[in-house]
Amino acid sequence: MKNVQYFSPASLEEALQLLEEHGSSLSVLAGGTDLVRDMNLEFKIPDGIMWIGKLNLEYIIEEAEVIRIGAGTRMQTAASSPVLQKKASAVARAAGKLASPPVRSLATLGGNLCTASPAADCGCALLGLGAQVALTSKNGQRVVPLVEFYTGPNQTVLRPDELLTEILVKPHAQGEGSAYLKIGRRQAMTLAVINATSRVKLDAAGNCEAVHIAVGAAAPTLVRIMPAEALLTGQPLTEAAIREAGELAASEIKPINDVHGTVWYRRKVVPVLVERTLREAANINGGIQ
Amino acid sequence: MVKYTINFTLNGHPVSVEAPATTNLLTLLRDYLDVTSVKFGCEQGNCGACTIIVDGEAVNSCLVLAQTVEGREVVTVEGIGKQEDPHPLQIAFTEYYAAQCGFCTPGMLMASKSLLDHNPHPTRDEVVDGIVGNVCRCTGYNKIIEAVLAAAEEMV
Repeated sequence: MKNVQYFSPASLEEALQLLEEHGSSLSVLAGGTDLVRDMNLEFKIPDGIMWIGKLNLEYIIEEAEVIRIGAGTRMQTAASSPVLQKKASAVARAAGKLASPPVRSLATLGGNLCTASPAADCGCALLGLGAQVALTSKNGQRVVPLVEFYTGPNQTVLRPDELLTEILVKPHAQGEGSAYLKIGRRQAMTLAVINATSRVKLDAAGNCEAVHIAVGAAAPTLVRIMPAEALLTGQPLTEAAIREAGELAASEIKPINDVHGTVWYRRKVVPVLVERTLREAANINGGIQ
Repeated sequence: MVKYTINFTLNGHPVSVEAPATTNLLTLLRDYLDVTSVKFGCEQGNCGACTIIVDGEAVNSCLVLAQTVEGREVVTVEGIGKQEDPHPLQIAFTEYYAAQCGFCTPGMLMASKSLLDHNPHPTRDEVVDGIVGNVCRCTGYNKIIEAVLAAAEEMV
């Protein structure tokens, strides 16, 4: 067994200094539901571990134009947050659907983003909400839209000297809603075979002013379905338009066959979830057709 | 092998242990502190057999790096009741035959304890959701759910 170093910085400054010095040899430990699991199974034994649990990164602050969510916010905190339930409902729902209560009291939103699973619950919800992430290093901070964050399966643009410190979400405006749904092999405690998020803003006339659609477990990364977004923007959200958006999603994705599901099944189920999330986000019949 | 000292409260008593950085809390409790009620199951957060309570919240101890409980309060099933003074959940589990082989029982009790601490009057569905991360391979779920509901009523 190798000697693994453990660091428990008491401040963000200290943490960023450690990342600057040690770079990629240091693994950041947030909730531990991925890193400690990987260590237990000997998939990955890092040279050093830096726990960020003392950095006070668990907070949800609502400002006029933005909700600022600390990267260390745990699933149970996000799921039970009245601000997120009302103003960014997709991520509250996704957090409450992730794994089980004992996992939800450990796993963090920042960890869910940085692990960068193509099937991530909160990653999908935040991508569909159009979230941005603040990446902080000793040399400053950059804000990256989540749509530019993922570069491949378990890969992101995060540099070894950077820490994902904050998630920025625009709160729902009047006439705006969002929804998250996933289909797994069972109801509870399940990984998504397909998941989807929609965010819809309707204007006074009932036309789509802005639409975001994200799908997970359907490509090497979580993906936005831009052609469907373009199709719906400026149009009334009719049942025919919703159906067409679902079909576009099915042709946009690049699914694979794996232990969780087949390409055939994933292409069949993507339109169903996209359509349901669109209806639910726009408050049409509670999402049911 | 470099070891780090960890100080925390275990079932109300202060403890101090030395362990390598990679040690998880499950291993620390079982192999360093002889707390064998905490069961070794999947080591990946799927089975719930190692569920304990840290700072008032149920966690899978296999997913907690032992170093991170420095200064925190850890409670295992030994800390919620004794044979001569059992917790209402423990009484209900015996009365409702909620333990068959017993392997999942400590984890079930701790997940249920955490549920009732946060929601003293759960519905049946809420009980199911509270123990959704705990696998019982004897499949005695109905009796466990009945026991938790009975304990909740007893504790009013």
